[in-house]
Amino acid sequence: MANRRKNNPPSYARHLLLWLGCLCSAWFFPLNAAQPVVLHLRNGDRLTGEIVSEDPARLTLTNSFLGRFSIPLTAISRREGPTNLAVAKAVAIPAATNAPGPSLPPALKRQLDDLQTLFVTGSISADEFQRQRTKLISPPKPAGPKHWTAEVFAGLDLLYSEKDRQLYTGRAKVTYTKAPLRNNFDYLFSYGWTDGELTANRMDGWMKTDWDLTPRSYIYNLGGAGYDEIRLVDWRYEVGPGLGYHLFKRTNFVLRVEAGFHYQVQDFEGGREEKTYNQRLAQDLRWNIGANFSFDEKVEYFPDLADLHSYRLRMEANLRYWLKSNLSLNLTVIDTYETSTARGVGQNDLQIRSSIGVKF
Amino acid sequence: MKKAVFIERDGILNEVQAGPKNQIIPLTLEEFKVKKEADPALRKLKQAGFVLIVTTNQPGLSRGYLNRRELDRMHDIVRRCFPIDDLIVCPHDEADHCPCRKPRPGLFIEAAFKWHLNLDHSFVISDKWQDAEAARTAGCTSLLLKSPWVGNVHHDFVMKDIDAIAEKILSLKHQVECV
Repeated sequence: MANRRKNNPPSYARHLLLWLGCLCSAWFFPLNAAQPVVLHLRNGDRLTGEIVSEDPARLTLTNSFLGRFSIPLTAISRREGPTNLAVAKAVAIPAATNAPGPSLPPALKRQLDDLQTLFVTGSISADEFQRQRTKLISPPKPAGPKHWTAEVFAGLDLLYSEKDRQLYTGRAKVTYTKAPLRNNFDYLFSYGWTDGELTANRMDGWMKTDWDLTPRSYIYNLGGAGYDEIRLVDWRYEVGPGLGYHLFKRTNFVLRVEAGFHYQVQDFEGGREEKTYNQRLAQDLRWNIGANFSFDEKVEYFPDLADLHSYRLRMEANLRYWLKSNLSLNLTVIDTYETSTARGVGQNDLQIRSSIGVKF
Repeated sequence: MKKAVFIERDGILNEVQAGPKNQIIPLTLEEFKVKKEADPALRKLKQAGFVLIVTTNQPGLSRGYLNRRELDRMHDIVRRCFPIDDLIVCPHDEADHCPCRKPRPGLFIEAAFKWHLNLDHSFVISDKWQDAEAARTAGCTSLLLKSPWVGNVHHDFVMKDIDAIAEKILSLKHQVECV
């Protein structure tokens, strides 16, 4: 016992060693667990978290539920835990609270500050604060689908030589889409003359309405009207309902087939009127070929089932090169073959057009 | 903007007991048992660059049968066992009608605000329909672990274990980056 007592250092030395040990521990092993501070607000609420910063006017606190949270010092009645920032900063902030603070737009920052002030002054409840805060920071809703689209095409063919020629062509397409409805309006005109003689004066318009029955099938109604002074058609109109089906419905390729009835009235020059009741068999496709090219094509066949020698066939193809997302160069081929025409007018009518298109 | 994986705590990171209708979650530290098998999957996701955020509804805090200090201790264990970046809690009861209690998406929105996340390219891992519904509302992709609580609401994938879920997320991430 005596030896043991003799070997032990004196009591003041033990205390000194203990203090040195504590100091070394504090130096080499800083606190690695966050020490939360509890703020008691003047409105009676209590907030727990870690202090991020403090200035003479405000204190910024962070916790896992509210995120970073700025409170006016005037709203705090007392606090528990680390009471000064030097202590709070010595505490390692865990990963959860070490997230980068978002760079807020000034308007949103002001709104959030106002909301916090309302909360810490007791004007709104915690639930209401949370609701309004979530509303403010929610990412903006993506814009809904665009229901209306419009495209305008303009073409010009000018020649000044032995013969002078001017030809103006135009087209407008307007589409309204809101499931299950699709409405397409298509209007075409061409007007021109050669050496002062009128060589083109025609106008046509169609309105087609599709109504989806299932993801693939739909019913449609087609109506159209127009005239062609060169082919001696004073006036014509047509109407016809039918059924359609999407054979392919890919993101870049759509192929549809349609079958229905068709009624057409044509007033030819000279007072002759012709009414036809036909069937309508049609096919159309749209193919987006890569980022810059697109191709669409449509074939309509109007046979008279009572007399198969009497029919009308209309084909149209468009190849488009997109200069920009809303600007395109277009090559259009339209061919119409009909067995019944005005007297002295050929049965085939072929148009090849080039145009610039603008999409809205 | 960063991509995140939101992980439901109960049933994915810690053991739960199956109740007649819902899971019975641990209320004390003694009942809290972490699922170590989730760790390799989470480490793979972390290495792939995802922000890992644990989300959990803890209505026991509002109802008074769960001690906040006990919950903090459980979450200290979760932070030590898994490479997570954040852990966000909804302490409300259903009657509070808060925006953060899943199936509402408030926790995901709060995390997106805090961490600069792109929710459209983020994923949600859970074994319950509430998380899938919150994912749908927030615009995330949901991957559910096969369980009796998957329900009938919209979910993107149901898989047999968390390793398969991690592989799926990595392949989906690769597809998105290659587009």
